[in-house]
Amino acid sequence: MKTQIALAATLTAMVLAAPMHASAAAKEKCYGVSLAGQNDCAAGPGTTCAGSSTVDYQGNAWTLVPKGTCESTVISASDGMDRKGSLVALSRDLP
Amino acid sequence: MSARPELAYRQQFTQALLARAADAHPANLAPHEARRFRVYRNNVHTALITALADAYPVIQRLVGEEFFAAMAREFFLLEHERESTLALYGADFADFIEQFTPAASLPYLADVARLERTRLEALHAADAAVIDASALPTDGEQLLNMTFEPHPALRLLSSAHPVVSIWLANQADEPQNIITASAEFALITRPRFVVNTLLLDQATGRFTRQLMQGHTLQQAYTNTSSIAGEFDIGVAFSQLLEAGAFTDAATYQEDTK
Repeated sequence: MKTQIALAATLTAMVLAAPMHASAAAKEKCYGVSLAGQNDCAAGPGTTCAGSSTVDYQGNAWTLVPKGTCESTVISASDGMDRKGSLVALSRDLP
Repeated sequence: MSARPELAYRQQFTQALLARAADAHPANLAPHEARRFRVYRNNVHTALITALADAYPVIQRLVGEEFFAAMAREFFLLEHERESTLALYGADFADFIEQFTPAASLPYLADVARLERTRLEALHAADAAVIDASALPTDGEQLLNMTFEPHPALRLLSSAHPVVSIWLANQADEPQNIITASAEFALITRPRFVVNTLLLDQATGRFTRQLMQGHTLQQAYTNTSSIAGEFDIGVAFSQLLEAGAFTDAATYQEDTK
């Protein structure tokens, strides 16, 4: 356990060395940032008037499997067994 | 009252908008009106999916657009509390994902969603000036006896999964997706207008939580090192200062209640 004096010294050194955050940050220009699209009405991107083909999944409901980057994501476990982040690979872990 | 039938109709209209059946519509519509309603209904659904995709871009990337849209649809067809602000839509999406069986193969997914949600909340939190490190006492002993006021946007998230690594891997165009399984702490700050996401080691994460709970640096250090072993308080504290975690500091008064 460090002594309080040693603690205090390491703290002081680090705090003095810390960059001046406020002045660096003041250069950022963007103002009133809001995530793109979220304030859009339904006439914005993603709107469709083509009936319901883009959102209706009843036909194949939950035959779907994740198909994004999770498929190529490998979580390397400490037991040395790598598990792919996909449905198929993880079925190995099922009881 | 004449407003009552109107209110009932409005409820019926809203229910039909978010009903599961694709041909749901309010009663007493002519066939061409029912068709119009379906177009409107589809726009509402697409807008909600788009709002969720904007709020949870990494989730969408992880599972792919098709799966995401279908999962989002299952989410909003469920009864749950709705934000009236579209920018804050989907607060309980992570809880939904956790219970969502088709996504069960990705045990980290719900926590990655929590991370994305936390970032969104930090984005919309109140603005505040970050503490000026040069105004802090240079006497370390004095510093150790101080408490720190968390910035309104400051968030700390702990997960049993490598959520920050997964999130970071999905910021690049070509993700490097070999990730070591480990518990991770995410520190979210927004000192100005940009949300920062930092990976903290376990000890620094616990230390940060202590400071956020209002403990002094000395108390936070003692409580952390009793669980996590010795760690470098100087590095940890300067990391927090640099990230813009605090707005103010005060000397701890023993007797104040």
